[in-house]
Amino acid sequence: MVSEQEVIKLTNEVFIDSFEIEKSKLVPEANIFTDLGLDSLDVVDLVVALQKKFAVTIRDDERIRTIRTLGDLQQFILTIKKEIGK
Amino acid sequence: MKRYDHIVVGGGISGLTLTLLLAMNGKKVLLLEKGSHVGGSLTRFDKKNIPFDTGFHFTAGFSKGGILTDMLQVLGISEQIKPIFLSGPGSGVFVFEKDNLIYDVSSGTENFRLSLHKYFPQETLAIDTYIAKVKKVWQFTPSLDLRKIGVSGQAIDEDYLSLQQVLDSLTTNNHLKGLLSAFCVCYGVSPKETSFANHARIAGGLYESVARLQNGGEAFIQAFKNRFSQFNVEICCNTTISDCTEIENDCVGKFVLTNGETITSGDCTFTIHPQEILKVLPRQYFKKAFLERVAAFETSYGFFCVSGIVENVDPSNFGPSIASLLPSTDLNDLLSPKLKQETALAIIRCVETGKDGKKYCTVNAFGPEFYPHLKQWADSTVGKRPADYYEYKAQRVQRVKERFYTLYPQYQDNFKVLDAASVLTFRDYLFSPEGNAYGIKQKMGQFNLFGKLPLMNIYVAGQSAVLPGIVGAMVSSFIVGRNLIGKDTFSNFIEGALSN
Repeated sequence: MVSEQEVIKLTNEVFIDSFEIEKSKLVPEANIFTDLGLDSLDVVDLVVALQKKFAVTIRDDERIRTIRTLGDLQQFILTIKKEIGK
Repeated sequence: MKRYDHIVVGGGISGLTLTLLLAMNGKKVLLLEKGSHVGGSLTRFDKKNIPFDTGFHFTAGFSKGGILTDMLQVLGISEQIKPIFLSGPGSGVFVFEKDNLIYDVSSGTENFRLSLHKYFPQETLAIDTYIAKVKKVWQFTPSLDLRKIGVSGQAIDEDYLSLQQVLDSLTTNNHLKGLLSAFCVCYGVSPKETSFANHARIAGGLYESVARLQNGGEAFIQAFKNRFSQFNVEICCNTTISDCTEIENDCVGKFVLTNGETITSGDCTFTIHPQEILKVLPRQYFKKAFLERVAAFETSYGFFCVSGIVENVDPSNFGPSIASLLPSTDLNDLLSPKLKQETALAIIRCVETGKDGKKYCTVNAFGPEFYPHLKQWADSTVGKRPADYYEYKAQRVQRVKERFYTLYPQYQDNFKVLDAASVLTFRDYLFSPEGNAYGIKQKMGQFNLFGKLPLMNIYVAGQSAVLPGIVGAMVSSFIVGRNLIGKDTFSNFIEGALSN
């Protein structure tokens, strides 16, 4: 089972490697849109990059639409990883 | 400098559809096509003055109230496009060659279900559950109804289950699994790679009806050309976009064409292979994640095609029919580029009228062919290929003939091959990367390139966007057209055309 620390590390890697965002900006309270500068069109690329990084399928459902901050996103990944682990 | 409201890049069915939709809604449109004529794989070719299909052989969607019927009505081309339905005994046959098993299934979803019951009496529950699942997917796919096009559908479980997972949950009968996944050949993705939902969207249409067209894909091309002349559409062949310049606020200001001209346009839609699109757009406007997503798309396979005629037989008893020959029941093996054994093979019999006015009994046989297998000849061009390439072709033609005669021994003495084409032929004539038949492979969990790009006046449609095949390609253009024309205007336009 992947740890919370590991999820945070891998999620941050996606933002650094695939969106070229500075590491210092990657704090849990950072808003993905207003602070990290992603727009609605980037969301699809973010989902694709996360699916690859974590080897998961991310469903287009209500949960993903409520995500606003990096912390929300990391918790969401942890939840789906746990669901798969069950 | 010339100015347009919209540029459409790619003159295949998707580009033709979008061009006409925009022109009918008052836009000044320029259609660019890299090849010497529009139509792409809809184009037919003549051998001995007999017409043969290039890449468009049959389609779903022509049943009453079917999505294709509705799209043609909206475009005002229904009159010129006449379906010839494949129905009745022998018109849709599946053959498992190794076991010498032949399944003659009827058209119409209910008839298909009952045919399967007859062949698999122990599996009626599995068959009924499968059909019910296909119907459920259709119910939850609003874009398969033109009046609801562009309304986003809710994701359903079947979007996240592979066809293989669903089949494995229903039955252990490999022949039944093979039959239910046989239409994977018609969209280029294996049962383990495709979502059940996408399979259902395509196969479900083909269970309902399969039709060829009078005059094949040329009927479409002529119909579109007629309409274009009514709306003053400009078509520029042998030309595409080579560069996008004067980009301000993420909007392209000028488009440089390969013929040396520079033009301006409000918007531009690409209907070509996604990886070809990125070649002409400046990379600095795209994030790495976006470029990685596009680079990860895998191109679908193409086909090795054999065209010929059967002489001295009665045309009134010659098709139209499709026989699908499957060397094994596992479509995952058959559609893998790692395939070492024989490929699947579709054989189409139909009667065509030659330029001399006579009826000819024609045969088109085609099986998946994987570009990497022909890598050694990839640098060669039409008419200048090395001798061993022609040997390879001759061997493949020979095997097609043998398999054809096994199924139809009555034609053994009077079948004549007139032409054969490999993926290299398709690549060089149609400008399709790797000679692919279905654009990119649309795998489960994948997000295609579709709609608006990060450059705000650039859009993407085409068969790689929504669903492969003629219906999917046209649907993608209707959805992009709705965005470009405006929801309310478009909805009134559709309603007006359909209620006529």
